[in-house]
Formats: sequence, structure tokens, C-alpha cells
Amino acid sequence: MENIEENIQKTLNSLDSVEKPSLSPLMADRIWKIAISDSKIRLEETWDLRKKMVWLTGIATVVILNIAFLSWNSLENKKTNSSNEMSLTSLYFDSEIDY
Amino acid sequence: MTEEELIEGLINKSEKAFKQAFKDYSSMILNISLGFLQNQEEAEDMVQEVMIELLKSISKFKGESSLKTWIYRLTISKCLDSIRAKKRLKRGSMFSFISFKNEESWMHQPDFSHPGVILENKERAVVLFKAIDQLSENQKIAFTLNKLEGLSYKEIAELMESSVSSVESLIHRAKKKLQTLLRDFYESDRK
Repeated sequence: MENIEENIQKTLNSLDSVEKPSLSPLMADRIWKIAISDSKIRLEETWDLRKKMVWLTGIATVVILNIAFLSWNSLENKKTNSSNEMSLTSLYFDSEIDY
Repeated sequence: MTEEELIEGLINKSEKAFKQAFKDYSSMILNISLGFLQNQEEAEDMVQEVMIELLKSISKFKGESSLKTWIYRLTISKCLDSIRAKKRLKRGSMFSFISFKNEESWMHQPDFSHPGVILENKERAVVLFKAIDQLSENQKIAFTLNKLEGLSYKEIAELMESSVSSVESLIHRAKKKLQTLLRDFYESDRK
């Protein structure tokens, strides 16, 4: 009986000083190749790139529209100013006015 | 490379980060997989599966625990899935009632020799692994992490998201069950 108890205890302790097994670094290369050929990972990468492109296009569009609006606005202002001046001059030097 | 840099690298699918993660964690993944699956080839396949999953799911990592804990959880959950799938397959097989008709069948399961066990303990470890396979899932997780990975009760509690006292109780019950199984084994061996 004592022998059995001793055996049990020794068996329970047989995993106490286990050395951690290691893998060859070549396996890392192999897994990396499999990982990057995985469609889900590639899709995720493409999705990330697509998201970045959408953001860039959006920001570029806002900037272009903003510049376009500013230039249109300044042109309109110029037009208004010059037409105001014309109306003033035409008021005084209109050829149809009988002096 | 710090943990933050490693995570960032993995999110950006950097080869350098992937190889660093392999260097840091593959041994741990293999050790746990060997403990759970008790098969060298299946354990090596599990390393591949976990490393690929790590690359796929790293964006879901919220940083609530350390990356190591997260990889521990990922590995254990993958191993348990694999064991469950194997059990389903066995249950579904036509001859399952022949091979698993009595409780003593655990002694006749194929031998597994963990490559990290020292020579003088090899024979005993083979018996112990067969007995460990008879434990409940939670007992197996707690006992394997404590024995094979040398994790403290506190670390196991964090990993299993439970209290230290419940881990203590799990390991105590696991040891009791193992003692009973081993007693049966050595007594039947004597006859």
C-alpha cells in the first residue's frame, strides 16, 4: 500500500520540472507564408487600404470644394465691385443724358 | 520591441513583429497544446493555427489583459475546441461503444511522451497524461497551467477570470481525482 502511495505521489510530481519545448525559426517563416496567403488577412489589409483611400478622397474633395467656393466668392465680389463702379460712372457720364 | 510596438506591428501585418511574436510565444503555445492535445503533430499544427489567428484577430485585442494572457486564452480555447471536435467524432463513430464501453478504458489510450519531461520521469508522465485526460475541462486547464507552465494560482485565476480560491479548489479536486485514478491504475497493475 505504501508503495502505491509513493508511486502516486511520484507520478503526480513527474511534470514538475518539464523543460519547455521550442520550435525551429524556419517554422516561423513557413507559418508567415501561410498567414499572408490567407484570404481573410489579405482582405483585411485591402479593407484597411480602402478605408484610408476613402478618407483621403473625402478630405481632398472637401479641400477642393472649399478652394473652389473661395475663388468663386472672390470673383463674385470683384464683379459686384466693378459693376457698382460702372453704375456710378454711368450715372454721371451717361451719353444719353442731355446736358 | 515593447508589447505596444509588437501589437502595433501585428495590426499592421509586419513580418518582423510576427517573427518576434513567434520567438516570444511559440514555445508557450506548443507546451500548452502538448498538455491538452497530447500529440506532438497536433500540437505543432496548433501553434500554426494560433499564430495565424493571432494575426487575424489582433485588432480585436482591447488591452484589458496582457498580450501573453490573451494568447494563453486563445490557445486554450482552440485546444478545447479541437478536443471537443475529436470527442464528437468519436461519439459519432460506429464502433465507439466497443472502444469506450467502460471507465477503465483511459488506461488503454495511446501513450504520449512530452518532449520536455526528463528521462527518469518519462514513464510516470505517460500515465499521468492519460489520467489528466479524464479531468473536467476546468480542472484540466488549472492543473495543466500549474504543472506544465508553472503558473501561480493568481495567474491562473486571472487567465480563467475567476478567484484564487476557486482555482485552489479546482486544483485540489483535480489532484484528488488523479490520485483515485492512479490508485486504480497501480492496483490493477499489481494484480
